[in-house]
Amino acid sequence: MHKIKRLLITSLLFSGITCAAENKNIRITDAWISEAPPTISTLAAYATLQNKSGKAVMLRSIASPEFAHVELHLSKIVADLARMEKQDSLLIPANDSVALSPGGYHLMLFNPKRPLTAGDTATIIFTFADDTSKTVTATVKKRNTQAHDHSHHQHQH
Amino acid sequence: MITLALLAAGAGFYISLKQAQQQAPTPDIEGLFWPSPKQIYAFNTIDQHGKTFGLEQIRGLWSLVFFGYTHCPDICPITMAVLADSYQQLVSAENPAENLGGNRAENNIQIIFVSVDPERDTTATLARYVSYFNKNFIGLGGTVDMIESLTKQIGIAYYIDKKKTADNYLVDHSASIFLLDPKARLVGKLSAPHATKNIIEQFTRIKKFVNAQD
Ligand SMILES: [Cu+2]
Repeated sequence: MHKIKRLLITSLLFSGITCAAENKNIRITDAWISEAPPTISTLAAYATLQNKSGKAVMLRSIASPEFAHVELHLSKIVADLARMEKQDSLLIPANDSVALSPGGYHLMLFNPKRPLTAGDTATIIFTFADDTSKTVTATVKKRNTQAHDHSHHQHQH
Repeated sequence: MITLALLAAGAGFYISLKQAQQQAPTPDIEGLFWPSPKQIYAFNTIDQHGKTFGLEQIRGLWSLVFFGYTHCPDICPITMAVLADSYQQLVSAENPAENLGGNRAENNIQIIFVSVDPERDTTATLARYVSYFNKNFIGLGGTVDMIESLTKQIGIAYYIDKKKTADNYLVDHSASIFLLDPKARLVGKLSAPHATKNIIEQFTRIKKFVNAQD
């Protein structure tokens, strides 16, 4: 009994040392990864980051044990030219949310360690400027063409 | 006297109407290149099966052409997914009796993805990439010169990141979908952001207009 207790305490301490404190003010929802055609080694992931606090929060880095490397990018179309720009950070304003969505901000997931297809999941760790972090499970899904059909929204000003 | 004036006015109206019809102004169709659409001449690319793909392969069909790269994870797959959706709807509208995706000659439309990243986009990569979206889609590549034999004629620019490291580099590319008619003329351009409904509407309008001209 004592042995078990000690083991439990040790493991709790251990996890406290290795992981950054959880950020309690940020809520991350709808995290998903777009399934990529076979052999393509760069995937995109999307999510909504909600800041429930009265202070702006800065997202500083993203990582995933399932991928070699993760970056935050912004897709832009300027004068018919599509380009992606790497972002070093992302500010989530106080009591506001920022959506990472197709055609805008997205996570670039480079070189998956195993092939991922619809239904698989991957862990994504968001780390903020104050060294707190938030871990989410993102599900791999096929793209739904209706989801980025902007035509319904165009006239709702 | 009044009758004469009316007649004269009527005749004047008739003449101006006639003139308006003769100098038919470009109709209000978004993305239409008319009058004088650009004629596409010989070009030389390689398709996803390793076969030569040139002018002969676009003659006689309506082609929707998009330029991108397979390692692009956001704009390109969004566009390809919307094109797959549009293609299925256009084909099933033209051939209600046919099952979705009938052969290219039957449905008269082909969807072409042109890679502007010759270093990474091999024939095998292009084959897996385009068939993921639709088994009838065409993927074109080749050497830089081959690719430019088409991009220069359509007038699109692309930029490969000069600071590229290993295989994770980005390519800036056109976001538009270009429309070639069966006479190999560049008759239209569909601008991003793309949505199935808009592609079908614009394509159908441009096709109807061009068909009525010749
Ligand atoms: Cu990106």
